[in-house]
Amino acid sequence: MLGLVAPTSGTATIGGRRYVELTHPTDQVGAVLEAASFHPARSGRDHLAVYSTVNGYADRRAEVLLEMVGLTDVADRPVGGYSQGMRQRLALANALLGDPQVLVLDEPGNGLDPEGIAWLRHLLRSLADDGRTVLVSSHLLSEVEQVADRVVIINHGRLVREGTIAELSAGVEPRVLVRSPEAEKLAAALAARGARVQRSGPDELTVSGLDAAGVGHVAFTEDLELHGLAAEASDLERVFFALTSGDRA
Amino acid sequence: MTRLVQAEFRKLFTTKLWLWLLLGAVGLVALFAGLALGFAGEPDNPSPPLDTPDGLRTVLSTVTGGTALVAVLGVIGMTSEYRHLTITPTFLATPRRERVVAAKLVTYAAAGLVYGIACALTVLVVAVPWLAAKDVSLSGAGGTVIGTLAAGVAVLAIYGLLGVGFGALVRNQVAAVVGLLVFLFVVQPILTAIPALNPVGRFLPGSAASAVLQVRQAGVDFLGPWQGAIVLTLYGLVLAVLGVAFTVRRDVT
Repeated sequence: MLGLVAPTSGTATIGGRRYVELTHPTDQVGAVLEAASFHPARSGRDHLAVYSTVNGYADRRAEVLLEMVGLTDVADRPVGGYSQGMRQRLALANALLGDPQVLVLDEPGNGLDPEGIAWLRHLLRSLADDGRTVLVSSHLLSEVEQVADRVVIINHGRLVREGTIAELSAGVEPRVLVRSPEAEKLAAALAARGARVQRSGPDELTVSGLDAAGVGHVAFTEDLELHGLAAEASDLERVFFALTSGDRA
Repeated sequence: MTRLVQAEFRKLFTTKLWLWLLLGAVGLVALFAGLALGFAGEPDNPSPPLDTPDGLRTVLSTVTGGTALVAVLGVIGMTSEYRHLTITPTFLATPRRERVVAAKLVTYAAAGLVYGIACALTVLVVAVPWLAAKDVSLSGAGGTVIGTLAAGVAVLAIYGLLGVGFGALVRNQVAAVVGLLVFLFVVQPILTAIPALNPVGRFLPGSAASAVLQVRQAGVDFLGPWQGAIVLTLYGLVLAVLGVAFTVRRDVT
């Protein structure tokens, strides 16, 4: 997509042109591909200076970005001494040098601590809200779910599904997890109401075909004791497995 | 292209490698110049006497003592991008990869030029007082001195090209540095030492460099100085073109 790897077939265009045809590509597309792309003896500030020079960006821009990603204090230290999270932040600063409208980020959360991940989520959200296109590839599905507007699922190199999270989850039936010491009786009562019930633990049932309120109502009318009742979050992970399970067999 | 070259200079000067290699080159040149001067006039030294232009040229030609280090600088300048994966942001900023190689050729030729000037000054600092102490007059030899040192500076600049070209072709840093040193210090001396191979040997980089410096050596038939310079430059450019054609366009992951 960025002209680094020759495709077996097909083309990718950004704003209608192939990446290699862009005159100042980093003005239009910023990319973070692997966080290890640094000379260990070069400082963070010098790293940005090198890539500012290639495209003629002012050094001031690098300072603003160092501040934004929180590396100003360590900017003169060699990158070799940076933590994985600091490298990730520096790579992000490098991608933003040209103030691009499109960002391509491969696993941007790798190596970030929980605070860093929250910071990254906020940053990506605000970049997207500015009207930018932010393309994130990740295998941390719960992380993606919290930031993404649209999701493309690729499994073994093939496109599986594409759409908003709501659209994708629509294909997966919501389930309810219920725990009860009288799981046996509850299962029978639920099945009588047309729900499909699976035994998922000694006193736990997974129910589909009824929502949490429905399951609770059945328990109440049958006078059965409940220890837990929760709608299973219809998260991306389940969508992913529901959509790709066939390929794994 | 100007910006690309500027960026390459920033890459070069934001690590310390250039400084260590420069100190190494200057040290080697000082050592070689000292040896050439110290052993000049010994009965079993085949070099011409110091008070002849050829003898003076032999001493001054130690200016090229740092060629291997300049070539190593060029090789590392190219291959460190692959080693440290900075080739990714570099090619993202400049997707037309041949331009990156071209900028490096310009940059490392210029760096070689600077190394050459430093080495030439080193030779002068060592040789001038030593020759004066030996009562060898330099009056009237100004042309030889300036000509030989200028030729040496040119040779070092061209070795910068050679290094980048070789690094572009062999992108593995360790393989490229080792391969280069083995060639310069093992393969090449063997090939040039065998008289029967002289028709080939005279076209090797080392012999071409000697030709540029107009060094005389008994039993060896060097190219003319301009021929030598052209042959040497072609090595750098042909390696770079082969590198762009076969190695540099390979996928970067």
